[in-house]
Amino acid sequence: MNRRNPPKALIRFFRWYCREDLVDAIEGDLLELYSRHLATRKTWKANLFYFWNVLRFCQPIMIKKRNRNTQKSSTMWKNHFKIALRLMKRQKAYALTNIVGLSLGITASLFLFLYVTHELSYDSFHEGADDIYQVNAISFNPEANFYRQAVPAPVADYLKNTFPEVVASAKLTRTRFPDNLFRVDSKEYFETGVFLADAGLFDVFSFSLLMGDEKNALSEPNQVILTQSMAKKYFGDTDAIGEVINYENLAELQVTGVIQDPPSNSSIQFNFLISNTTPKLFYYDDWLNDWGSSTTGTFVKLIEGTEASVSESKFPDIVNSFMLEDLDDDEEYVMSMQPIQTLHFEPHITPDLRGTNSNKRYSYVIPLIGVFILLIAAFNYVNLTTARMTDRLKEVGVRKVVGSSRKNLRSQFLVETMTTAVVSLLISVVFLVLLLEPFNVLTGKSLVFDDLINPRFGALVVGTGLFIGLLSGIYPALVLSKIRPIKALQKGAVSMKRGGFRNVLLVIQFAAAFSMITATLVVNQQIDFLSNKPLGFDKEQVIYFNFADRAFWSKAEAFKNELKKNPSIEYVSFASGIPGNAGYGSTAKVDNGTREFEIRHIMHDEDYMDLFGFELVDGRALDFELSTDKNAGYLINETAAKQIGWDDPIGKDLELWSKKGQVVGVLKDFHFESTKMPIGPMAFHIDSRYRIVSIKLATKDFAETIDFIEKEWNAMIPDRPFQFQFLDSRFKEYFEEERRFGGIMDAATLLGLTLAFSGLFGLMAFLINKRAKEISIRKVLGANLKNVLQLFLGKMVLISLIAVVIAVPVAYWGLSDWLGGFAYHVELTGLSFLLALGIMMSIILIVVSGQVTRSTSKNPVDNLRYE
Amino acid sequence: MLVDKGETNTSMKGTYLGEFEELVLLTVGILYDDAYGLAITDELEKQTGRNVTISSVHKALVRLEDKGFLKSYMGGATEERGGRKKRLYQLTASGKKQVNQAKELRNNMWNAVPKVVWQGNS
Repeated sequence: MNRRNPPKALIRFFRWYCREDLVDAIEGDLLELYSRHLATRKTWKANLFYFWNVLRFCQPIMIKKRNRNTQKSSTMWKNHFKIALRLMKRQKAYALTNIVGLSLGITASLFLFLYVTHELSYDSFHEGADDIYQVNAISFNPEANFYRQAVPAPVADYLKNTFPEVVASAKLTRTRFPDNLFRVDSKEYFETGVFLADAGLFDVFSFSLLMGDEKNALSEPNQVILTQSMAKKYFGDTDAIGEVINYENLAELQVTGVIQDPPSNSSIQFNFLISNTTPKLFYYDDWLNDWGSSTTGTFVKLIEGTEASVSESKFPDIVNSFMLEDLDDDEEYVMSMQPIQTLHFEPHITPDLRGTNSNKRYSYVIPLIGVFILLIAAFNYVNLTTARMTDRLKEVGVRKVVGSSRKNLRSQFLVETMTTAVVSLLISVVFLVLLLEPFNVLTGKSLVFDDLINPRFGALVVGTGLFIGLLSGIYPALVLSKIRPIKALQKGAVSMKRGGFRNVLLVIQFAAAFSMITATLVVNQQIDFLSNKPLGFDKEQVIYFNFADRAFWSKAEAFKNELKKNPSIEYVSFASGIPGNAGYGSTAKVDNGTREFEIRHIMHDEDYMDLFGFELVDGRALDFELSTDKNAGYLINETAAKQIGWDDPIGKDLELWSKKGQVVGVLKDFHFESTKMPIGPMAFHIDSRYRIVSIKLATKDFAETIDFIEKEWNAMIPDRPFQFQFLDSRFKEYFEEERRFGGIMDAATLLGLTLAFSGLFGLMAFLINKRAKEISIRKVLGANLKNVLQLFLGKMVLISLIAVVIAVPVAYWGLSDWLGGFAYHVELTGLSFLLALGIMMSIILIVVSGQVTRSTSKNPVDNLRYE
Repeated sequence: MLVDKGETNTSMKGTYLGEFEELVLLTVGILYDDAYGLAITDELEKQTGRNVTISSVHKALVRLEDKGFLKSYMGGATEERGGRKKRLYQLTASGKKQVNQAKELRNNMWNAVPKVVWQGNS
């Protein structure tokens, strides 16, 4: 009988949705109905009826329950997990390589992410951190143009009392002492992080007292709050409250509180907070009511969600009401608010109040490197897993024949990779804890274990594990589960040799490795360049110290004469500023006061030029015997001459701080500050407003000479220990951030390369092993090492060249951006890229040829014998 | 090895019987040993004169089986069914009880209606 059937698509659709236990019977009914319709109607009408019926069956009760397997899922997952563990046990070496590689990659990237989360978390720990601001000021005036992180002291209270949106305000003021001498009994230390403060601190910030009472701890003069670590340093384990500390032989401070050490991600780092009503600690008394000078770091907290501009718009009124009489006619004073969370990254802020400033750019580069390493490690794993797929084909075939579904197989593979990822993750968490100290040394951070335990980082750790597990599992899972069982069981029916996907991953890996090599080369080159760039003066064997006390300066000449008697001391010089220690910035007037420009100027004594060995290019040095020079002589540097536009500066008039004079000489440009910064215009003149003593030692025997200086010091100023710094170490400090970055780059690149090429090593071993027979036959037919090498090397070289083509523009863009941040930098030439290419190629060559040689040196019989 | 729990649905989901379900139960009884989806549909159309759709019948059958009033077995493949077997339904003991109960309920209620109601001419 010639039977006709309804359209196949409809049957398939019906079968797709219908419950398995009903499908046969209903389909039978539908077909019976269909043939009945066919007998009486046209075919298309019968089809339409059939279609209508199929649609009407599509109801909840008839529809297949798709997730019916989940009922036994726990058993299934358990079994998958068991198989995964068995596999690891069976192929120990393979599993070990994978896990070691992955955990190294995860550890490194977690560290890099940790670094960045820490960087970005600066000052966010304060409650309501979004609403906390520091009030800054810029004053434009003829004598000095200053960007200040301070405003007059009364501003803080005024803001709190008159601005409705200001909830709280705090004052932090530096004392007049540069190095803060504290003494308890015989314990005597110079300390940093000493501030005059008020109780507003506790209202604005989330620093909390461990002992003492917030309200009264800073309410009276001569009170001090110590950090926990300082309390331990001075008083050991005994209760510090009520103890007395001597400060600078001036004040007996009573300890009224012990405060938690500011966390490592706080921009505001203090050790001592002295009540700001304590007399004699600031340059002058009654400074708390002085609207005339910017003395105080001022912090405010606004009502939640208030825009800073609400307060800022009212600032000019404050200036007009209180500060006009202290401002010169042509001086302008502008206050603004800076969100506290940007303090850490604000590049133009001098490290005055705070710990270390940081360049935000590094916060974006470093996680990128982390991602690179993570990708390299994960791709290694993916590549090895996919390459070894051929080994699993039979298993897949058998599983499918026995009735495993694609979904089942997929979850099987995902469980396997997830297991590896989770094991690696656990190991890397252990690494993370163990390597925290070395990490701190490398990055200059002071992270402790507690910093690791926060939900953000926890989420990151878990996320990384899932990411790796999924990334490495998804491809084998998809591809392997798709293979038809018959092909899987048939030998050689599925070829895994070409591996297009694998090559894509290799390209990405090589591109990441290449970028990292190039970046490391260029970064190190730049750091070398900066630290070796001639400064233009002699910084060796120079020690210096700041001293603000008038008492010293009255005896200074005598001190100098005493020191000069020692032949080991070549020069002693007093000045208002020396290289590495800012002088005054001012506006200079030229051309009879008709033109103005910004200049930094130094007041110095007669030994200054000789001590530092500055070079004259034009005119003469200042003559301390000539009264004209003493009262009206200026030296300028080349940059100043260029900026003013003088071709022949000698004899030109210059006015600074209302002192009119003539230029008598031009100094060759030198780096007054870090070589990171452009050289600015400078002027030098004779004046005795000194702040810094520099001493040039003639001998290599520092210890003895410094002992001598100390003895002289103690004879003259008995109540203060002698303290000094080396000038060259000061210049090294400038590159601390770059060195840290360089160190991170070096370590990361080394690790990334090791991972990338150990991955290549494993992959090559596997590929060569798969083609062992082919190689043996080639050898038997007369192929030599070179021929075999060509087989494998050609492809690898091609892959790495493609990678380089991709990586060069990325690396070029990133590096020129980084270099652009420096006033003086190395040129980004093709040489660095070529060198990186060379390094990468030679490693590839070594890895590939090593593996090939190992394989070809075997007797071909071993591979060809068939047993 | 694989136990398909989907088939062993023994839960009794409430014993409420809708009017259509009651008719399907009765039809299964009428058809006795040839009660499968399409035949039940035909019989129902014949008995009630209504237009009955095959899908609603199957829906009712699945429900009734779930409720335990029907049981089924596979059998009787024919040419016009494309070789598919029929799912043949039988009343279970509780199914028979249910039909009886429904009938009794009607009878009782019928008897409770005062005679005078039937004598009116409206």
